[in-house]
Amino acid sequence: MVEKTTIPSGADQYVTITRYELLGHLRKKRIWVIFIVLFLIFFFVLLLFPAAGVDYPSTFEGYSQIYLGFMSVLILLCATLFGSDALVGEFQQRTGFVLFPNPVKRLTIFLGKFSASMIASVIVISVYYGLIVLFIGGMYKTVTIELAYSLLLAVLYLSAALGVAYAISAIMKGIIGSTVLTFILFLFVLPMVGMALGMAEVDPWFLVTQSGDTVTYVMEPEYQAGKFCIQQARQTICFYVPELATSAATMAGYFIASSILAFLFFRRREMVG
Amino acid sequence: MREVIKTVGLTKMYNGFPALDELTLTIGPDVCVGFIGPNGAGKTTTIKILTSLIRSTAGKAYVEGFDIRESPKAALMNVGSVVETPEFYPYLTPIETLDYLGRLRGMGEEYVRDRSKRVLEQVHMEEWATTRIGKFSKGMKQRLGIAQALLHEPTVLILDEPTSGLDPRGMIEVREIIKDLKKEKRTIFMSSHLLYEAQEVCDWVAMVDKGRLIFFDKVENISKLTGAKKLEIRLVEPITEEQLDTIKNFEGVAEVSLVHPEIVNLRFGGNDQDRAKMLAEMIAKGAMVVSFQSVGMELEDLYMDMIGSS
Ligand SMILES: Nc1ncnc2c1ncn2[C@@H]1O[C@H](COP(=O)(O)OP(=O)(O)OP(=O)(O)O)[C@@H](O)[C@H]1O
Ligand SMILES: [Mg+2]
Repeated sequence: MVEKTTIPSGADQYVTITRYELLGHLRKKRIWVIFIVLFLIFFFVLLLFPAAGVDYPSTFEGYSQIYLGFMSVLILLCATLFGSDALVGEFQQRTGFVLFPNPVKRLTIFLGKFSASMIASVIVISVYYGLIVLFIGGMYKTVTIELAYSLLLAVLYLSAALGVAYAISAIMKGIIGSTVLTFILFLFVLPMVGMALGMAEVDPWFLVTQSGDTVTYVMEPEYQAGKFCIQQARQTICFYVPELATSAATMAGYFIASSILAFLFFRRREMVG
Repeated sequence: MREVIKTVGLTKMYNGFPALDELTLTIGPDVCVGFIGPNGAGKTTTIKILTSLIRSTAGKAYVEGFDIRESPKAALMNVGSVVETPEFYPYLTPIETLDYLGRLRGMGEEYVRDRSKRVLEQVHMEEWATTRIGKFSKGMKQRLGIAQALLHEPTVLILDEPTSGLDPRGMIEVREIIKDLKKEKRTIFMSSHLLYEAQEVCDWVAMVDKGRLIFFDKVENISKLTGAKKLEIRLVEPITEEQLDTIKNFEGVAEVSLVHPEIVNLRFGGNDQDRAKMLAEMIAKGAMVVSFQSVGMELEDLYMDMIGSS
């Protein structure tokens, strides 16, 4: 009886948690929401040019950039739908009453959940990149290596966004609050701060949304970081194209800092109520 | 004696208010301890600390000798628990849920499969084994909660109101499961508001009030403490003066009251032989007795005494 059970290793438990969390992501309706949005965006952009009677962009890179412009929205959808309830849900939906009294460390639970959110999101964005290769690559009979760099940057941006979503999820009382806060932060707050800084001619290299734009910029045949200003009537409006290395470092920094913060809060959090 | 569950000065503060106030309790092997006390007494708080759901503010808690704070993994290996009404991932089926939890507890594939089948049968959920939990009723979730607690054959079961939310048949079934487990050498610590349940199922009773332990003893010792038992005597015809005097003058009788001309209530300190003697004497006086039995429960009396005075 007892000999069939041994204290399980953290690694085995991590695999179990990741597997079942991933199964959860695949079974929840929300993954279909993301895929529907993804396909709508993709075919909308594909049909846009013939529908408007406008010529297609002249290069593969140019057309891809239009697609990659939607990447930040897709990544944000993945981060919120796969990450915002991951931690807070255990408390609010009371499933923690069954999960936490097991001989498993909070760190293992955290890593398993994070990995599952990451895998589900990477599946989604890979499908998007796959469609670009298939349709746009097919159309121009070429695919440039920059698209692979873009995918890598997208994964990096995703890890940062998920880290922030997890941190918010570890702190907030409810799932809805956690989701909305993450959404507002990435969709409005950070981009608006970026714009304000641009107006004040301050380089917002430290904003993760700014770094995330490299997903699109990297497709430029001749990538050039720096400050670009446009004269508009009485005003100069400046924007900054970030350095690739700086951006990668910023995103990695967000990922590391926010996931550590998320874990520390999650580890301390008690199953009250 | 092996100390299976032990708390020493266990304290939990919520915003300066002690939900648990220096609880010290030692539970030996292979016993069932009923954990009772009024609402807000600290039962769930104790159980949450023992299952690592919350941290104590002060004091220590051990399961099978392992400090729950310092070696939670080792301590929890031996524990099966149901705390409050458990919730499960709605997108998993009971079989998948049990596989998930079994794996986390280090059970091998085959062992989990056999045990899952067995525990689902025990709680009569085998029909639902492969249905997603999403729309399960409260009672069905409670049954699944019990099933997962038994899954890995833990030596220690910690249950917070295990029969709450169950239909009458479910309650009886769960009590039978617990009684069966007692035969298999398990240590069971269960809270309950149902005093007859605690008295019927358990060997020991621990009573808490306002976060403090106010009573901890064997069930069989309770009657010695409460002393006089309540008796109810029912007759076919109204009781006569003479018969009533017989009762009043019998040794060890107190608080005789006539509830109804045919029903007498009293407290009686004597043993079974004295009771039989009193019955014989009444019949000799021509009383047509239909029933002559103790009413209420010792634990109930003790509870009212202890909680009333604390
Ligand atoms: N999260 C919390 N914040 C503040 N106080 C709490 C919290 N949880 C419990 N308490 C308080 O702690 C005390 C003990 O609560 P506990 O849930 O342990 O009682 P209980 O004995 O299980 O009661 P019941 O019979 O109602 O289940 C109560 O006074 C309760 O108000
Ligand atoms: Mg309670």
